[in-house]
Amino acid sequence: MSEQNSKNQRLLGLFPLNWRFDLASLPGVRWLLKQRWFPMIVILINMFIFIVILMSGIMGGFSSGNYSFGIMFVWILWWVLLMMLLVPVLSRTWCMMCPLPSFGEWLQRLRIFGVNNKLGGLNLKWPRRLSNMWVMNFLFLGTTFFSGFFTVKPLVTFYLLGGIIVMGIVLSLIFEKRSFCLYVCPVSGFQGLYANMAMTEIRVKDPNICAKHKKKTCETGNKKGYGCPWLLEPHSLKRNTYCGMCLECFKTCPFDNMAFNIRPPGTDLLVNEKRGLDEAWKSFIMIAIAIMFYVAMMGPWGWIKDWVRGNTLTGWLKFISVHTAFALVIIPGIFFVFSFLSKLFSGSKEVRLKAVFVNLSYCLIPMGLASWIAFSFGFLLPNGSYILHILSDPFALGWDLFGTANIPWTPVATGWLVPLQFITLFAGYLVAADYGYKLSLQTYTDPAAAKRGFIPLLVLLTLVVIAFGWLYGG
Amino acid sequence: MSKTIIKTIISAVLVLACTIGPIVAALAYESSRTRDLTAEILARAPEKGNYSPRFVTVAFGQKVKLRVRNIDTVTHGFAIPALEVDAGEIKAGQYAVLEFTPEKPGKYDFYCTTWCSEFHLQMRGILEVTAR
Amino acid sequence: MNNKITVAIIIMLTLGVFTWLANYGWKNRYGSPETYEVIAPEVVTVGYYAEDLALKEADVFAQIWQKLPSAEIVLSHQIIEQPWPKGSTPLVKVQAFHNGKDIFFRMTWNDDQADTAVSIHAFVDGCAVAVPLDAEAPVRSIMMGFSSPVNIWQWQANKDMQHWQGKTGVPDLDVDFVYPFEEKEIFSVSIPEVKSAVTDLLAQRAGSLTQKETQAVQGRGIWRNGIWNVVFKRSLITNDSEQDCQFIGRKQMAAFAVWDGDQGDRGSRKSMSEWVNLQIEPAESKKSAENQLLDDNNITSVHKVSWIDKLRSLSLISTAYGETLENQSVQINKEPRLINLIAKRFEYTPNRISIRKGERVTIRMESLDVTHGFYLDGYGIDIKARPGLIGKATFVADKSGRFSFRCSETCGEFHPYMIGFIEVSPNSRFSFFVWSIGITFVVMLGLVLLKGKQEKGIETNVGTEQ
Repeated sequence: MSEQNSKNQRLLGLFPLNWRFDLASLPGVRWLLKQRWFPMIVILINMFIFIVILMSGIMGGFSSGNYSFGIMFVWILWWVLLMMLLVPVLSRTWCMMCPLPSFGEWLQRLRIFGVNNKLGGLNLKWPRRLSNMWVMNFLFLGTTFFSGFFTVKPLVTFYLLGGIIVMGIVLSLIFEKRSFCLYVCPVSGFQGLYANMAMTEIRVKDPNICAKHKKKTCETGNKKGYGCPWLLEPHSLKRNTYCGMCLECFKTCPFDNMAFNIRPPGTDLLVNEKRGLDEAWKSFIMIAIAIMFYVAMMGPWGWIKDWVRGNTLTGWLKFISVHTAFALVIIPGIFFVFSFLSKLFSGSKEVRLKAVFVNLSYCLIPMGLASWIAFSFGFLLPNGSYILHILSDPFALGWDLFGTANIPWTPVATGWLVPLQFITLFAGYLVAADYGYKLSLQTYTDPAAAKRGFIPLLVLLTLVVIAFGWLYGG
Repeated sequence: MSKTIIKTIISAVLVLACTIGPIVAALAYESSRTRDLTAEILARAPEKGNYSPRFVTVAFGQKVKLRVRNIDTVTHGFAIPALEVDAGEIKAGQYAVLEFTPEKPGKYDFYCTTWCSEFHLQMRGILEVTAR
Repeated sequence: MNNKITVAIIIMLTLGVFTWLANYGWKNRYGSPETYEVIAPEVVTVGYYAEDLALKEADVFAQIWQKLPSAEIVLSHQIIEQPWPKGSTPLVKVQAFHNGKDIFFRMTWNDDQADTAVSIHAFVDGCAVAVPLDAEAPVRSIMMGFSSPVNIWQWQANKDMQHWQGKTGVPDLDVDFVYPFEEKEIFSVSIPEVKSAVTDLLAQRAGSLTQKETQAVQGRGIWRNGIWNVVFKRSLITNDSEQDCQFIGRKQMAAFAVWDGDQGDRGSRKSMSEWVNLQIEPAESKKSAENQLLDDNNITSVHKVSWIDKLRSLSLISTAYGETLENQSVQINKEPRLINLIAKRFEYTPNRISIRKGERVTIRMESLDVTHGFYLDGYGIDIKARPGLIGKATFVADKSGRFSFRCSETCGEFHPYMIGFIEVSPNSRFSFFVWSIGITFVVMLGLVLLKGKQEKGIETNVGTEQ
């Protein structure tokens, strides 16, 4: 019944969830996606930018972060783009053009553009027990412990990015294919989870063709491309979470059966595949970090800033313990209370509490994404003008490459900051409530029980959105 | 055969241009810009290392071109009162270029002119003009 | 096996390169590996000696000065306020003691020529001691404004001649302004009768130098063999604590300045020192250990915020702040409400300001450490406050809602995060937001509850449509 149900569902009662448009059906697009040089040329351009970022980091030392190319590009432009455009619209397109693991991948392949399916390195299988988001959860949370350093000190940004590159090379040599991207990269986890909200996806056009195709070249690779580097089965791909959009399956499919779809946002939230506590905790951590970042970076409280920037070691330790407890215990605890209430309200006996907890947690994804987008406005509008300066003077050496070096700090439309944040939060609330209802329907087989079980969830979402609104502009 | 060679060359050039390229280009551009500098002085608050270098030697009667680069996180200044040289405020991440010709040999103190730290008054150095 | 070795080599290489780069970056984190050892403030010990000096000529070279330790204090050009001096006196030696009633300072410095009168070649030599009225005042910028008023005792060679020897220069000229703290040069219209070689002055910041009515300081200077020796004398305690610094406790601060007349020094053209700590030994050197403990406690009790205050400070409710009288909301009238804002790295105090819509507000900002700014979102107001200079802006709060104000002058690593909130109440934007959420909540709840009974029907309908 639920299968039937999801087919006919509409987002906010308006957009049918099963609506798709294949971008690759446009002339030229499929040709582009099938070119061997295609994502690689974008990777190379990004590599150029990241080399400049790393250079500015190593040369910038502890100098002023707001005049550092690395800091501004990574934490104003890249992070904001990721949160506002790349992930919510284009799924994991960033992973498609990410230069960080490329050195490792080139070492595996010993090719840059060409195809060589005999991959080098030790090619070990990633341990099964770690084939989930837990490593990324802890690494990402651990990274945010240092947010008071790498968002202001160019050298620490170099350490962070350099560390990711080195880890990428080492793990690519030991483990097979993109194991590093799949299970370790700290940025990957939230992208994977929030990509479920994306408005694009890579899927097969016609499953029947794949069913008849015995060789499954999308998994094994052929002369035209590599077998899926992300260790997926592209022929039966259902969710965006672990799909890095490397476009190899477009090249390896002999039947041109892959599609690059535009879709209504968030349809993957309803796909019950590989759901688990790891992904639930990922969304708790993301919400906790959004709150912590706002309090520490855009709040008025100097003593919290002193904790976060490690003014004293004890202060910093207090910060990481409070932050960890908040992300790993308090927020999940609150959510647990409400999922318990949901089960209680529904009166359902056959559904396990764990299933309720995990399933319903997916409705926090739109909420979390909205809070992050709203938070990102708070970076972009006041500090976006630094980008113009650092483009002209990337190493703070007094260059003026594009004539924009002398543009002073100019906050843009900051009067609209809070209303924009409110609008974003409101949209997130609507979508979250809508998916919460659908997830409730999916969890409790009985529609009447689902409706009753949805009420505590709706109360929670309402409280969360008001709390965020109060924090951002109350 | 020749086609694969061309492809290899193109890809090698592309990869080099995108990895080592920016490093070489940046260093070359910077060295061309700073060729005629007598000295570069980094401005940092005393607790972060003070001016670097704190002792600059220049020859008497020759034009001196100094670049003072503020690589700190607060506003600094640079002035040699005895030579009536003043760069004014140099904000974080900015720089100042000073050109002057010292007319008398001797040792001249230079100072930071903007209150930058509780040790601000220690932010000073010496420009020595040698008689050759 | 071969494969494993290759992998191991590449991994080692990668790690090696990264470690090298990381180390290089760390060593050059402040641009170059060159470091500087910060010099702690010089300490001048003011010992207790039961000796009195009447400031006769011989007293300047009395026995006591031979046995007292002397602190060598580095001087620098005064370059904080214009005009600047051309030359400088690099060093001054300072000695001090007290006898339970009076305190004595002796400053000695090298000067190849004694300038005791204004001539075509020179102004007069001089020196000064500055002591803050509040011994506990936090160290702030010299010249740019102190956290407490400062007593300045200025000795000038021409006044010394006049007072002690009755000689005046021909013609009798004074230096056109007494001490540096004038923003522009002014003529002193009447030359006061010289009662002492030392002028006793009071200043709060640059441009506020005032000659005190009661002149409490005596001094005498002798130039001998290329060295100026100047002795200051004042009672430890006076009966005017509003205008005179007091040497009551065991700690005080002092700064020193020297004018070299033939270098053209006068007014703000001088050499000056950093703040120096005076350590005053008690008259009866046997002070009980208990008292000492108390003293130490007093020093270390830095302003601490209790965790309850921290929690309370988290509250965003507007009535919870505005502690000082000035920051409290007053009746809306024509006088703009004054809001005193103190900026230091990386927080404003108060960090949240509550005002009413339509109110006229003056923001008056002062910095406690380095240059800070104040940019108000939505209103576009930009203020800059250099340490010691007040930044000011007046505006009408005509937009309601919560706005952030942020630092607009790079002031340190956390500069982009230096933010405070202004809430112009009523916060109609937030109310609107909450109302929209509330209405949506009710609508959704209604839809879920009411539609519940017809669910089956709707589903079949949709099914037939497709």
